[in-house]
Amino acid sequence: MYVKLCLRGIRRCAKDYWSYCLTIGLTAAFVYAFHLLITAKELRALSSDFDAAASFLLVISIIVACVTLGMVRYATRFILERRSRELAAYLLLGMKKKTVCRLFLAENAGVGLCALIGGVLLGSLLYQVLRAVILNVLEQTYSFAVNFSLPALLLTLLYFILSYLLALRKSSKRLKKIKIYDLMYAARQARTPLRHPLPRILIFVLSLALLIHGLHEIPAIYQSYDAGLTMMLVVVMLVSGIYGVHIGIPALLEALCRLPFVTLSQAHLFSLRQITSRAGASAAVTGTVSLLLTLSLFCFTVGFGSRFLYPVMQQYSYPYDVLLEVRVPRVDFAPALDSIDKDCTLESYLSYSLYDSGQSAVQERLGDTYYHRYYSHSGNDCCIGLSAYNRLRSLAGLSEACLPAGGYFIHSQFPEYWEPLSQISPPVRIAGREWKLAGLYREGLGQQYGNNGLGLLLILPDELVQTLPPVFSCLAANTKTSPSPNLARCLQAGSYQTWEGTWVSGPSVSLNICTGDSGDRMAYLTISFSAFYLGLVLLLICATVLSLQQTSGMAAQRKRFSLLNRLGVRESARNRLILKQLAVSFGLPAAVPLICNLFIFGLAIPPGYRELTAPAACWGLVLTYLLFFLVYACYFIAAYLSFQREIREV
Amino acid sequence: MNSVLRLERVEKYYGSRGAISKAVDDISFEVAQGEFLGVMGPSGSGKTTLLNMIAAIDTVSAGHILIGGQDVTELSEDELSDFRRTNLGFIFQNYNLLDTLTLGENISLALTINRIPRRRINALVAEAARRLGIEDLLNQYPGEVSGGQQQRCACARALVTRPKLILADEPTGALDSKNARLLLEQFLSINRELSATLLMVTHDAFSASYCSRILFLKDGRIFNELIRGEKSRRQFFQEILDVMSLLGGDFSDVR
Repeated sequence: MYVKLCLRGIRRCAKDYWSYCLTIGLTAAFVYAFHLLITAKELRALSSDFDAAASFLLVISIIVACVTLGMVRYATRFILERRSRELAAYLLLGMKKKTVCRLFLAENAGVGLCALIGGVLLGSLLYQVLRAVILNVLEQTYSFAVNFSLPALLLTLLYFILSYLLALRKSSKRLKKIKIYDLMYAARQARTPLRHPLPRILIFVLSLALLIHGLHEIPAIYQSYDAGLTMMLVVVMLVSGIYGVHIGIPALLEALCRLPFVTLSQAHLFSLRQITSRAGASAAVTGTVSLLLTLSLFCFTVGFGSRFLYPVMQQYSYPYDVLLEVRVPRVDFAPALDSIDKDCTLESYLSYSLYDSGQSAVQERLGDTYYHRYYSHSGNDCCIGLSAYNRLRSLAGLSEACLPAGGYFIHSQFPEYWEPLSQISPPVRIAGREWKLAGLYREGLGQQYGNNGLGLLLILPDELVQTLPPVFSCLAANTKTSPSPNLARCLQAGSYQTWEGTWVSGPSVSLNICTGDSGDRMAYLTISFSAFYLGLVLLLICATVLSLQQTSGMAAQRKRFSLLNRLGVRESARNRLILKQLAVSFGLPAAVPLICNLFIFGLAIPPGYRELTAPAACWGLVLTYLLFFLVYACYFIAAYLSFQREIREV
Repeated sequence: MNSVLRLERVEKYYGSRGAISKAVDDISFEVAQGEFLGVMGPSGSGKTTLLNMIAAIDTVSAGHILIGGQDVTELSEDELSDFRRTNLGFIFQNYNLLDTLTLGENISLALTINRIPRRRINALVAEAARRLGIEDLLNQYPGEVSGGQQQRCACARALVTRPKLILADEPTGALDSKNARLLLEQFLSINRELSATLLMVTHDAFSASYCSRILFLKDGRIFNELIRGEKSRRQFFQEILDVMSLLGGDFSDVR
């Protein structure tokens, strides 16, 4: 009989709380899929940076497990409250409390186990999708292969079993302490109305101010001496602000509606009281959900944004497949070209020189802002001829530049130099003549590792440059396939002979090379996947908590709607009231995160990089909001239909 | 008198020093074996609180409650659950049936908890169901039958373990008049044929007229007592109405 009770309880629980079961299943699917990724030997062999990526994903999995624990605790406490009368009936029939506890825990564990099994099966399919994406990014061919990893399965089981054990242990303790009287009359316990709204309204105002100030301080992170501390303070302000706003909103709504000049229709008054009647107890949950939604949106935007940012930053950081700079003049690059061709088939190349302009006017004008001075050999500004520069631009897929008479260009891909250079517009004096700044070019030219001019490269007319002494010998090459790590080692460690017969190697060689095993690629992939994984799990958990919240106090809800029915309110009007109530319940926790996320990404990008990253950030935001509304809408519709069904069961 | 239930100066109060409210104020009475006692009173008179204390759902603030000679106010939680299992049966206004079990399974659950051998359970369930007129409904779920049928199932569940005392809290509260009458007649039948001792809390005079004795509560105290004796149910009903009208009038008129 107890087994029958337990199995039927599991079935009923799965039916009544299907959104919770679905979320557990989906979370298990994602966790298992990512654990399969972490333990995949095939992927480990493709990239030397995979270990770091795997460790990062493992940390994210632990965070997901902790958040899942929170959700399971909330859900089991919620289910305990909903089933309090039933549990009281067991006790009144003479069942021992220990037996009732075990029955309740067995039912919840059973539900979790079913969701876990479904999740693991789904996770195996999901892993194939993730594997296909990774292989595509690493330029490998995907073919379907059944993958099973015992460590991945055990790790997944461990996370979920631990989460359930800890959550159910808490419920078990609560159940052991609770009295029959409290179980029987739990539904009658009136929610405390907001007797003193003023403190909460003050909390709202202060929290809103804190939130706005926190958003305003985001750009200060880059300008501050201690960026870490500033970021921490900004995070504390945002978290406190979001949380405090939700604590205060119900009291504010109630107070606004009591203003003499505010007249509400009966329908709006009913909806408002529906919301504020539970406000005292649920404000903390709403605040927490809002915080998690903010984090979820942030993660999504980072995840999607990384996907679009990667090719942009790749092009910015590696405009050429190979960029080799030897800090002596007139180097013979023939052996290097030969090595490159053998490794990855040379497509096009340019061998050119950088010259000493004989003056340092630009550096001096930048003053302390110019930090590349510490790497400079001669202390003078570096320059290149226009035709070599244009061929360099063409090799990087950029349009050619046209130099006006008497003018020079500066090329710098460092945003911190742009504003000062635009404002200063320093003229330079070379070969007895003054040259005026005619333009500032900012595209990626491989300058981030000190190549092509140590942060600043002056572009001068060819005839002028020919009179200047060469200082660096450079080679830029594009190849048909990605260079191998072996080539990178070879070029970096190699010795180079000058036309005069001397050899140079070691610190005089600076290499910027985009290998197939680029750590950047793995890093972007890791960030993108981890952010998306965490974001989706957080969103699912938040939507589940909001869905469960709608069915709390259902006995009182049924009474109210039953009364409306008896008063002659039509079903369509009642449905509209339900829709309004749910729209506010789902909408309120999401409103602040949706707005904050826009500001965070609008303000968080350093001013100098906005132009470069804006398209990626925009796409990231668009896809984030699309996915967010899609998932949120599904849970909203499910909650609405479930609420309607519960109200009808009078 | 062989008393099944005895209350000795039972009190229940809420609040602390500054504001104490007494829900039950110094109540003492006895219920004999085979008696059908009704407890009546207006809302807030303390009748449900009294029932909860007798059922050991709620604790007493003062006094003793003895059921079958056992003082339930001094039992531990585990002892109370054992005591409830073997000595008490409950019938509530909202039936309190388990909706994942059929009516037959609801009745047999009480026997399973009492560790009755499985081979005897079916027979006992069938007998209880037949007595309450629900033998054809044993395979139906609570949601599939009427309120009256559900309440009769609850009654069968309370009765099947042959408890010393059956406690009913507004058992007809959610029923229409026809089903209420059917249920009350079942109570009468159980009381007469099986000598079951029943204590029923009700605010309904019609339901109370089926009892053999009625205690009237007002403001937590026993206000009046009526014994049916040889009177017909109609005469007893009229007497109850007279007392109830006094509950709204001057207290000194009754004494």
